[in-house]
Amino acid sequence: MKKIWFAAIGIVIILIAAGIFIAMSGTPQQKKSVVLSESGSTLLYPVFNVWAKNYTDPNYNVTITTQSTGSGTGISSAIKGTVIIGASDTYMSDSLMVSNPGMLNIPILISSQYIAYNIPGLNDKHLVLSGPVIAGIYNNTIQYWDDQKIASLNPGISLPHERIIPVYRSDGSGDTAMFTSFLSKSCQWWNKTVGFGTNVNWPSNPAAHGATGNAGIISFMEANPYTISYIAMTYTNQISGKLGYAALINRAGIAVLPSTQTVMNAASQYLNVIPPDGRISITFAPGNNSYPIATFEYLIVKKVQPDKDTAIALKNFIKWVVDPNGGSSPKYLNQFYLIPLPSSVVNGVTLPLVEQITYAS
Amino acid sequence: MSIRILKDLSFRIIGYAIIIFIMIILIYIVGGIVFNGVLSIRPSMLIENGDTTSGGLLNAIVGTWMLVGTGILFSVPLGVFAAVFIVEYGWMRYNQIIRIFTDILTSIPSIVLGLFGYLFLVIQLGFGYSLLAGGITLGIMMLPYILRITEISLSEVPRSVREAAISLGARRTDLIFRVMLPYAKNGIITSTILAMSIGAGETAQLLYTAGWNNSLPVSFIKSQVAYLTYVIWAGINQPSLYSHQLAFASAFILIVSVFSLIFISKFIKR
Amino acid sequence: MPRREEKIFKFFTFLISLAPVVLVVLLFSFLLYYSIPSIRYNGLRFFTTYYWYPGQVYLPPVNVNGILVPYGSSFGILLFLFGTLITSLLALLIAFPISIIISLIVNLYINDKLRKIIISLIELFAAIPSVVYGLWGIVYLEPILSNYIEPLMSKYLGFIPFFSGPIYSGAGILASSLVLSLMILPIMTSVLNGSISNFSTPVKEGAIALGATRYEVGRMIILRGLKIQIFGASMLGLGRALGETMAVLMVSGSAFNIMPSNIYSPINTMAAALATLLDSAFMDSTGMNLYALSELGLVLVLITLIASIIGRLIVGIGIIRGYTRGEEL
Repeated sequence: MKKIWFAAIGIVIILIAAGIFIAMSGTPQQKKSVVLSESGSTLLYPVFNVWAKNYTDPNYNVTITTQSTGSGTGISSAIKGTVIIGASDTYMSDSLMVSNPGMLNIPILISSQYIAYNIPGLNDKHLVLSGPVIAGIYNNTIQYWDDQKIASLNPGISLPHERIIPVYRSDGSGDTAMFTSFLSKSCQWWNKTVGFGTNVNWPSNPAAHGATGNAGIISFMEANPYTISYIAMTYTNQISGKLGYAALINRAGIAVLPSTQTVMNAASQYLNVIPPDGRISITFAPGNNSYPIATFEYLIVKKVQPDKDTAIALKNFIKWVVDPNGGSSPKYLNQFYLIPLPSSVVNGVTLPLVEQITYAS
Repeated sequence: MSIRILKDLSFRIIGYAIIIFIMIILIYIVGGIVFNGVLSIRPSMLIENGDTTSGGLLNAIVGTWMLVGTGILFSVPLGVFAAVFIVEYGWMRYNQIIRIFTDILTSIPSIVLGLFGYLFLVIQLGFGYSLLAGGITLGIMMLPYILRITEISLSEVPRSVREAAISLGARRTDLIFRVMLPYAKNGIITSTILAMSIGAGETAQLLYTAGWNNSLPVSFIKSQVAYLTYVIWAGINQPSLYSHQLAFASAFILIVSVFSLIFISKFIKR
Repeated sequence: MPRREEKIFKFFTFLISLAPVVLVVLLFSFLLYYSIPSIRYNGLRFFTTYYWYPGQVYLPPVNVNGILVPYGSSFGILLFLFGTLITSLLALLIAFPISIIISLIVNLYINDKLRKIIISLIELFAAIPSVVYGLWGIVYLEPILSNYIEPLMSKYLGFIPFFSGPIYSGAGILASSLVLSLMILPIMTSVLNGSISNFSTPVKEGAIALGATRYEVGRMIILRGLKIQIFGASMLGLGRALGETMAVLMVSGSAFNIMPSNIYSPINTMAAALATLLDSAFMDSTGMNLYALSELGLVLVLITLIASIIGRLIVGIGIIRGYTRGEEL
């Protein structure tokens, strides 16, 4: 009996000692704690999680909370102040900026997307498609894969006479914004009737199908041949070998395949014309070797932060995010097929915007 | 064998077949989730915080119960005291009105409650995405269950017991606190457990009220909370296999806890 | 002193008992307040068109009759309304006979112990969270539907209108209705079981003693006697199905701006649309998207209320007797 008592007391003492040790090692020095809450873009969500885990601030104990809600919620949460950082695949519209002048749109990354399709037998080839043709597919004027308009872009490829099933995102999405922005710039009709945004006036098409999230689109396309849709480059590994993707006719009239290089080319066409507030669309870029679908990813933050510590911690974090040795290093970005900003954009646009962040005194 | 008996027999056979078929579907659903859940779950998931793409589920598990707890803290006092008034003081017309409004509350779709929670709690009251906003939104949904079951239990107190208490000179409050509520204790506990099991499985109400947090919330307001159903919803829409495993593991944990709660509530009733 | 305490306590509980009223009034006033601009802008068109056009939020807003709205926006809920009603009614159509047969069988042929087990197992369906149904629907139900069941249905039932025609991914009206029918089965079965087992035993036993088969007792006596309760149970099930969000969202195929052509077509319901469209609505600086969604929410609540209130009134009278207490003492 005694032995049990000794053992029990021993265990208790060891546990208490361990607890004290953990408690002490947990707080080695007294750093102030700052919580940077993030909400928004599903596309940025995975990389934000990796950043949150690996980021350390020299002066603060920074906790970054992330939430995948969609760009719209991200922007509105940042405006309402329910989160510090709104992550968005698009910049705020002019009218939103007018009603909320105290917001900053800080570009941090470039992302792009595939126009993917599932045509059995042709998935290892890259079809050539153009904005007007894709618009025609979505608005039901081009109904079959062997339509003359598709065939003339792809001489020598035997296309099946099968009904095309266009797939779109039913939830609000930055991918939709990117895609529709490309179509708006390359097709008059689309620009006038459908427009661009995270959710648009989808044309009526009896074959069209909605899906939630990129993963929803991919699984739908895999299960259904003769589908076409747009899929974020982040999902490269999920579509490789299962779906084909197209080369797109760019502004110069040349078919270009998506790659880090062709997307970088597109972004660099705009270096000299990016406005100081960072809000610009970089789809359908000029240049012979530019892939026509690309966008800046944005952090939407308030110019005036509630307190000094949050403001400083936030600035440090964003600077780290665009630092090629920090958050923008290939070890973080490559796995998600995200493309870092060229250093000229970082120095010319992002950092000046970051410096505008202040705090209420 | 007459036609009548034949009809009786065939009805019986069809009926048994349907019951068996429905049971198979139940097993298929629960079994499918449990099967995938067991394949997906790792012990590390139970002790690590995570973010639906990596790590574990500790923050989501604890967050779920914190949200449910907040909902209970909101709904149980309201529900129990409201039931006390209805049974002890209320007059028929008044009680009918309250009952109609309780019924209305039960039939409000969860996404509409979520929209209300967002407009009222998150924005208007400035709670932000938080334990309080999410918890109260859950609590609004729980309130009718607590109220009605408590009301039934209170009204089941035998007249003789009440009359005995009153004839001994007990005051109304004594009657309520010493006799009625202890008598209805089991009903209150059962309704609380039932409300917990319903609250733990809710998603639509929390999407725009609770948010998400990679660790545990640090305060009641303006600090977001993680919850399990979100992992299921977000995980299945993420690219990686591990996200899907987290989703299945969450569904498994959720089913096990909800079923155990229901089992416990059945046990208490007896 | 004690008297005062009593009064304070009574007043305190009185205030608390108003909580359901306060919450309902708050909810409706918020929804209504946020709906007003949409009601003014969309008018009746809201119910007669099926186009949901969020408009071009990146263009300057335009002024229509004094209301600022995004360029090209127009909001009609006909598709969502239709989707909500058709999926719920089909679910009811599936769950209705099943719940009646199950509750008759367990009450007529099966002993008490087994009956309790079966009923509590079916009630377990109600305990499965909605999002888990959605997960199951995506992973298990949709592939089965699109690979096996729907092709067969299209082939052999194609002569029935809306049963023929192209099959897509499995997500659509049929998948939503099936999932919904499982979700409303427990509430209907348990209410019906309650009514039937309350049904006077002497009548049952007497009829059987007179030589009626149990099937005849069920069909001619119980079902006829409980018509109202059966209707009430259906309304309760319908009310549950109308407002269901997550499960339907995950298996509906989320159609926009196109009416379904057959039972396999993608569909969208009011609750699911509300959940998916809310995010983009925040992008709209004029707020019209949010207002339109609030009106959508308001309409959804009203529809759900009608079904549930009817159901509750009937069932409340039918089974929970001795429940309208409170006037005594």
